[in-house]
Amino acid sequence: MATIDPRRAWEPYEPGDSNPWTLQKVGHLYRRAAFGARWDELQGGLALGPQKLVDNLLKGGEAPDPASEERARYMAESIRKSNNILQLAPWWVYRLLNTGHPLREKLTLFWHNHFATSNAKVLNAGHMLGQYDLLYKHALGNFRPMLEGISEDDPAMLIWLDTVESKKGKPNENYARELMELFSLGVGNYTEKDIREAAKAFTGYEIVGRKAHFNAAQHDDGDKTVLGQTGRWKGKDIIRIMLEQKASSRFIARKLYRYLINETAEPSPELIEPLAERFGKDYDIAGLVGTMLRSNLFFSEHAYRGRVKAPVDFALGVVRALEGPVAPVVIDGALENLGQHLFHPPSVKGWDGGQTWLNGQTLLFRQNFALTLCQTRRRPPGEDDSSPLPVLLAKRHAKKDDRELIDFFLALFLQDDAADETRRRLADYLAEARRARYPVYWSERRATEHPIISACHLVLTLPEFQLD
Amino acid sequence: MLPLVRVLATACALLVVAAPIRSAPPDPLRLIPREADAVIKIEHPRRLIESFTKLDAYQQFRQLDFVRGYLDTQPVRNFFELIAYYERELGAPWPELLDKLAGGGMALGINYAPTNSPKERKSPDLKVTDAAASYRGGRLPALLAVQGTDEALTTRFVEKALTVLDQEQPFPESKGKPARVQYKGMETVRVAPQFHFARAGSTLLIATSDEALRAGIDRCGTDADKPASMADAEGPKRAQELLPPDPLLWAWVNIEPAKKGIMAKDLFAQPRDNFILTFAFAGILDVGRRSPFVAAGLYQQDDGFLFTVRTPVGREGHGGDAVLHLPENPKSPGTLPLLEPKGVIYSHSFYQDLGALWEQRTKILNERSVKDFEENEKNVSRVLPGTSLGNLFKQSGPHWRIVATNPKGAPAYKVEPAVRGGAFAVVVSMRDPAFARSTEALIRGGALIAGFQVGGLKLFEEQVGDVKMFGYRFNEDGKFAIDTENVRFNYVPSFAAVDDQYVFASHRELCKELIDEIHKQKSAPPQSQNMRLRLYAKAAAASFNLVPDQLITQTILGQGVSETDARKQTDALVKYLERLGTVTLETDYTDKTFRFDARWQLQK
Repeated sequence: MATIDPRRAWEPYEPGDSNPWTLQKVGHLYRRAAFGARWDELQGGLALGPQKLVDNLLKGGEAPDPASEERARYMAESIRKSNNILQLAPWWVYRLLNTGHPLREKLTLFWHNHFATSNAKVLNAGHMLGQYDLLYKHALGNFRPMLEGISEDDPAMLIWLDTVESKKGKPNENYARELMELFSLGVGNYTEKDIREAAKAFTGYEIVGRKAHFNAAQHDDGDKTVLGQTGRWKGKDIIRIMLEQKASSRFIARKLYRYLINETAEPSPELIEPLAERFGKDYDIAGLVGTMLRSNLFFSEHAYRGRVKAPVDFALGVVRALEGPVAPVVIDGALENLGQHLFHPPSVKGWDGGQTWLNGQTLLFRQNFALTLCQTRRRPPGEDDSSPLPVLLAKRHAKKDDRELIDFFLALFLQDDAADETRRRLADYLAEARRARYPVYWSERRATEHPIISACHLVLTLPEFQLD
Repeated sequence: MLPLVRVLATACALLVVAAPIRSAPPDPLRLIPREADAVIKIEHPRRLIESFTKLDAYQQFRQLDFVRGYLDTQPVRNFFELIAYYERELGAPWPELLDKLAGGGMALGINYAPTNSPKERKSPDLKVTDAAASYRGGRLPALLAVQGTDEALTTRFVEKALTVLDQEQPFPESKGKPARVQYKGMETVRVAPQFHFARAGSTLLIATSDEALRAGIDRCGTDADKPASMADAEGPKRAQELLPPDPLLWAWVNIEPAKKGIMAKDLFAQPRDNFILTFAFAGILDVGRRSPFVAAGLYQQDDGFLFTVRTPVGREGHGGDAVLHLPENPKSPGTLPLLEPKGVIYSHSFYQDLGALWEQRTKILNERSVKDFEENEKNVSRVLPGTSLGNLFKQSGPHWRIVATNPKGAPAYKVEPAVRGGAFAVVVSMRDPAFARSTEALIRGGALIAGFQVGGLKLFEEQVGDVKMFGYRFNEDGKFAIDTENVRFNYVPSFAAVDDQYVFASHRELCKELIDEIHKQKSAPPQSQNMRLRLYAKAAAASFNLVPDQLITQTILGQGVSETDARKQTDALVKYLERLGTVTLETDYTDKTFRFDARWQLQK
């Protein structure tokens, strides 16, 4: 990290002869700032250039299906009314699949992991959807109202960290502790006394009906001293005190750095400081995210494929690239097997992420799920029979022979980040598959489809594809 | 697709009007070792399959979008390709092939409870041989014998199946190279660790272990000293005698091994530790405790299907706790007729004698449960004005009826609940009219207290014929913080004593309807069954209209379709369900037998 010049690192990337704007960089941006890209999006991004593409991603666009937003609201209300917790995670997958603003969804997922709240304890679909709404509203907005909302107005968090149990004379310290350790300051920037004092400020917060409610009779209205400031603080005052600390902006900037740029190499304080300095002035998340996504550092080798794909990125990335409708319930089932059950993070620390996403079992699940997706069939309008998604894709993009097919799959899924040896072996496989003697009962159609499905599946199981 | 599924499918996929048969094919039970714990026999596989596939309901089911989607998935397409291949190669459509490959029937033998030593087995029906020990090895050893009527066809079928298995090896579907091993001059094939098969003349043997397969082959010859089989075993014979004739499928299960487990010992103990089990299932568990085996059969009937389970023990010699669920006098009615108000979704009538539970508690329950029961009775009785829980139990009768229907009439309130709920009622018989007086006093007292919590309750009274009905309406201006979705505004709790019955209903209209129905049922003949339960598909389908949003949401999320398509699919599903008729469950005791019947009667 010592070799990175902080000033140059955060300057906007400008393509040049020595560092051109390539398909790899477009794919990289779509992986980090969205959930992968379709072929037309990759090509469109190549034509737009980096800064305009980042502008578009920050701004968001129309959903592919304009009715999907309204439909998501309709389903949310149904889930809320019936408290159908089984539909919660598939509902979010539906949103991820149909969003016109993937970066905002991606950041919502980041904040879901930051303020990690699980329905395993909350047990209320309406409260979890309420938290989603709060996070989505501020995902690219301002950190201050988001933290205030989470702390005082979010029934899911009030239950999750026992604030509802926290009464005058009997404060519960859970929320105050996690607020400082995980949500704002980070370890080492507060004392146990600060936690005890702040816990008194978070007394009297209850839930009435669907909403949070402040019960003054249960609130400890006495003086509290937190991080050197004394007063009759309530929750919102504690948030103000937290956000006045430089540690808060550093903590958030560092966490977003790990999410968007590199999760393995710890950034130096000097590298984070310019971001934290700027972020600490107004806590504008879009500003911070925009700076990161536009930067030289983001488009450098340091960031490129420097993360392990989270299950959501793996699954959504394949589905988006295959351009086929896949049922949210199917994807949700796979996400659970792969270790990222939405609305159910394993603890208040969220998912560990990184290399923990991969082990013998989850790699096998990834392979199996990739095969399921490659074998998923859809019947195009006007046709009599269905075809597997990779076959439809190859047809849609007019891939005429095996060489074109391999080039296309490697460009689409890996933006050509495959060794020559990999490409050669794929070509050999396809050639052999064309010559192979298929079992006698296979139909001609199945024998024709099989090599295409297998080639696509092989690309999705390459080690490179597991990297973000 | 698993090879096992493929071969079984193939085996199933093939019988009809076989050419004139000179002699009946041998019984496949002759190949199932006597040591099996359970036997399932399909006499005519084609008839079994076609009894379902020829139903209109089945054809309509296949047309539902989500079913069509499933049938279009790759594994299912692969399966149908395989069937088509056999039809082509063997020269007949699958029903005819099934007739020839399995026309002599199919018998499955299972050892569900492996034991360490064959000597542990005490059932008089089972003579244990040394071979039993090896048959019991492995996980749930099972042996399927498929009796064909055309040896040449069976031979060709096996050849084709082996070709398929060999050719699949380079592909993901393959489970490995089939290994061929000779045993007693016969070729056996190991396809996967738990899938072995062999052909013996026109018989196909399929097993989950090598030992199980060999146990079947051991019984193939004509030697006089070949090991004993299930063909002439006492257990299956007795099972067939218990069951009605002409089943599509029948089964015999020796339950003695199951009773040796630690959990089973607790389950069948009398008195047992678990109060809830005794309360809810004492009668059935008592039958299980005494019966050596269970017989089951599936039947096609004029209007649907019957699945029946029977045991060779009944009322005679029943245990002490069975009085909870059986009238002491066999001639007394077991249940009162099912209540069937308009829009009924679920109707249940059963015998549950709380009076006997209270009065015979020291015989029925163990010491600890008696102590807990008495303590709880004392605690509850403290808040009961002028009576005790024990008295209420004694005053109540043994006949209970529960009914659930779609909502009744127009909404009872201006405030609309977020989710519309159905109506339900509980009707209990009374031994003593004092039950009605005590219950009314309890309800009125309880309503006074509850009124403060739910934002107010308004009493109403109404004369329905000679019956005085009363109940409560929720105050629409009242606040009830917990009920954020206004669910309470679905209900108007209503109560009435009708002759010797007491009605607790969720809706005023339902209560009135039940008063009328109870009057009309006065002359209905007594029912011997001690439990009857009926589900009504038409009304259940209509109830989905109460929660269309949930169904549509599930369809969108489950199938990834548009809202318009989801609405169409939901409508089609509801229309389909409407035509499925009723499902009735009932249990009945004679002196020497017990039966549980599940009957599906399709709407004509």
